[in-house]
Amino acid sequence: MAILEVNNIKKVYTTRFGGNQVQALSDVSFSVEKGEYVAIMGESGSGKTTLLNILASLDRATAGQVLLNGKNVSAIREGELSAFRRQNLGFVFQDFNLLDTFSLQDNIFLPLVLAGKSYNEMRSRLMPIAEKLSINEILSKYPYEVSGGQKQRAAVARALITNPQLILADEPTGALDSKAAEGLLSMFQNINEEGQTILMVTHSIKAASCAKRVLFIKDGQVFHQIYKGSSSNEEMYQKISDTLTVITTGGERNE
Amino acid sequence: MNRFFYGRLAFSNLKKNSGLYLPYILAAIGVSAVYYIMGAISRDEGIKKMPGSGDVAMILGLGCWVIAIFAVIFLFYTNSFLMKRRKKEFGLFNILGMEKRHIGKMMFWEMVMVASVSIVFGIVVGILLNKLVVLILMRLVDLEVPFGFSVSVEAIVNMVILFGCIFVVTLIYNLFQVQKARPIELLQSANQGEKEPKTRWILTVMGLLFLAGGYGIALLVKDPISVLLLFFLAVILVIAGTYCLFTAGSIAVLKLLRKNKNYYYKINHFTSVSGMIYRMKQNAVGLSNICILSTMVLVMISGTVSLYMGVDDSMKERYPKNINLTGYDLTSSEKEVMRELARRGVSDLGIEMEEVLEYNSLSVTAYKDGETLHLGEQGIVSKGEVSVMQWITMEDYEHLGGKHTELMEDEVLVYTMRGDTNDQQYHLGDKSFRIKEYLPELLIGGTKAEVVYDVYFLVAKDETVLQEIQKIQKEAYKDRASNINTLIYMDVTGGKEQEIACANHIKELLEAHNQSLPEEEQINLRVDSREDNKEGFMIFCGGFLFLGIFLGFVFLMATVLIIYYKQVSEGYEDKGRFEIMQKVGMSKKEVKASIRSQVLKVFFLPLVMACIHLTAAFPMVNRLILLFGMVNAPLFAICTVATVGVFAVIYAIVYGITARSYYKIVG
Repeated sequence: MAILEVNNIKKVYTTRFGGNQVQALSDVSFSVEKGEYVAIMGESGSGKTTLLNILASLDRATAGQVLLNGKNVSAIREGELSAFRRQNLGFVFQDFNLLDTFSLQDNIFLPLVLAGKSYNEMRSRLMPIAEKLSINEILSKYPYEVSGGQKQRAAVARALITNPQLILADEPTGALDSKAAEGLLSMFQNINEEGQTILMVTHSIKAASCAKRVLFIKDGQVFHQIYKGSSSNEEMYQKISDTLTVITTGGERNE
Repeated sequence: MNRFFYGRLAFSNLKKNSGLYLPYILAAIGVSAVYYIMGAISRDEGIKKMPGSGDVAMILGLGCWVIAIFAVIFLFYTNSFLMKRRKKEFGLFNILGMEKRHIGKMMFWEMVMVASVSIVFGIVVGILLNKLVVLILMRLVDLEVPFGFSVSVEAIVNMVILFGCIFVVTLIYNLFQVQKARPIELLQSANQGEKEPKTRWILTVMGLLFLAGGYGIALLVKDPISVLLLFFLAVILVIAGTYCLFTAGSIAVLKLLRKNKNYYYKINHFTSVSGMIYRMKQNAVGLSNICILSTMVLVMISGTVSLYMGVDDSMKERYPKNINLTGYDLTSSEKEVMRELARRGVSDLGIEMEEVLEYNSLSVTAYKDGETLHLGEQGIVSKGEVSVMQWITMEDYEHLGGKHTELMEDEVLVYTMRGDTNDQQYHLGDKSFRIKEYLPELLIGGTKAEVVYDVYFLVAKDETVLQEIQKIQKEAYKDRASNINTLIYMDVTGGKEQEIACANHIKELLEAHNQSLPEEEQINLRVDSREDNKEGFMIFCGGFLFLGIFLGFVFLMATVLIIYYKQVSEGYEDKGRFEIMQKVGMSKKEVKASIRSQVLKVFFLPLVMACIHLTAAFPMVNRLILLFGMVNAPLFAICTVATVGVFAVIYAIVYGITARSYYKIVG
């Protein structure tokens, strides 16, 4: 069963005085099954972030619909949106988006506190996650006291703690060094193997090669997709890299 | 390169940053105008000519200094806000290839523009407002307004020098700041200070102790002379305590709250407590400044307003009737002359006496230690409280309308407003007086006017007792001993002018009478009219009120500006946090509510604290204005409450206006 269905999404930005119209997404359709790990790739300006914002219900599409568990996200009223987001989606951002006024633990608790959970419940939910992400030693530290990789792990913990239907990750390795990035990616793979659905936007081939499926976006449309199947990460890397070459050079080489 | 390049760059910088610079320039114009006005008025020829101008000039001169000191601190403080916001810009210029020297040039031109605009407009506004302020001052002190539109060159020169210096020093400070910073630091300086503040218990405890000390002095010190001396100590303690508590205490309290898991992990408390910890660290000094300034505004305005409103009351206390004659150590024939002078003084003017009170009284200053009254110099007698014992005879008491009581030679009736009322007897030298009865009231006025010491009114059997006491007193105090005074208080028909004329006429008659006599036989008599004294007192109080309102206004302006800058600079910082919270799943409404509650708490905390300070200061200020003869405590209370009310409204309005610009930045 598809957990996420994206049907003919179109997004047109209009400049402030109504003059120029810029089409960010022209017609995007795809679906994500439960337990999938999908990466969306594309060059800068291809509309990746716009797409993610629409999926995250942070932005509204000009046309088309997004169904999460069969529920039309664009039909949810403004007042209920943030609660919906909190209950169904987990976010991991490129720049972590941790609040510097909170310790890591409190940052992770934030969505649960907003949902009105008790301290004991939050604590019991946190413990296994912190163990898995190996951040239980640094929970009382503040974001400015820990490394980028640790920050991102805390952000992942914050995304996981609500048991979301879907994790949306926006360039999660973008601000990490290669070692931390590798660690994070293997963590994503582990989480995914435990059944967590992940949708990641990235332009790093390395990151995308960990996913089970990669969608390529070009000029506001889904241009191509490849499945990992039983390939190893290295083979997947090669596939993606070839596909990207095809996309950027217009496919001449294969002709 | 174009010669005017840096000038133009500076100008466009100011224009781009007008949201920051406009309030700064307006404030500089305001402060400089205020300084000019103060300087001009204290040099005003018209004011120098009016009666009692010495007092007013002294008060205004004091005001000049206060404003000068204030201007330095205030402009420096607001400048630091500007620098904090602009460092990133300077860093960018630096990285784009401008050398520090060039940035310096640019900053120099910026400062030249800011300074010249501020000073020129300060002079213009100052001159224009000066007239208005003179009008207000004259109205307050109840005097005719002199015509003309005066410009004081001396005051202008003074002001240009002072503010020129302030701007030059500010520029040097800013240049130094940029000079020592590396470009990367400049770029990032807007995001500095993320570290969580430590809990500083020692500072918190010290703050509490300081505050307790200050409040203790204000509440416990009863002796007005000590109040005067200790007032500044109390003020300093409270200021120190406020700083400590705002910087350390607030954080300690918030951290305690955070430790309480059940409290902290609630949707309303979670973001606000942690946000407050963060905010308090950056804003503690600013908030304590606001708190202290607000307290000063409130104390000053409520004190001076009630002093001014109470002029009539205090004059009535000090001068129970329209015309008051005091004769010193008169024989009975001289007393007759005194009465005759009073009668003639009234009848010569064709007016009539209405109510006349006459009595004799002997005033003895003693150190009252329980039931024993010590006589002697201060230093020799160390025990007991200074008390003024006013002796009158039973006969006079009856004259005044008191009920006759049969008294023995060693018996007295006692009335006191603030003194002890549990004594059985008094021991004075080798004599003892049994207290037969405490009187509920005394029928002469002026009982509240003596505020420095405790006052006891003692009714004794007859004049012989008074003379015996005077003898004892003379032995102790020698020629500094006081005399038996004869007092005649009377109301006369007619208005203000007649009263003054009548008093003056009595003085003339007295002089005429004394001229014909050798010195030993001259009558030692003092004549006061309430109206005459009121005029002088009015000028004094009006001057103070003027200063109070004026400084209050200036401090208010400072408070407003600090609030504004705080809101703006916090807006930029909160913008990022606002966005993150939304992404994590807080609705716009929740974020807005959370930030509003934080901002509300942070900005109204100083006001609440100021009100607490004011409440604690109330008894002390009350005693202080008692020294100026203001005896109407309820009036003072009303004035205080009214001042707080008006201030709170202004504060709320300012908050509302600045909060709008804050939400504009955040949203």
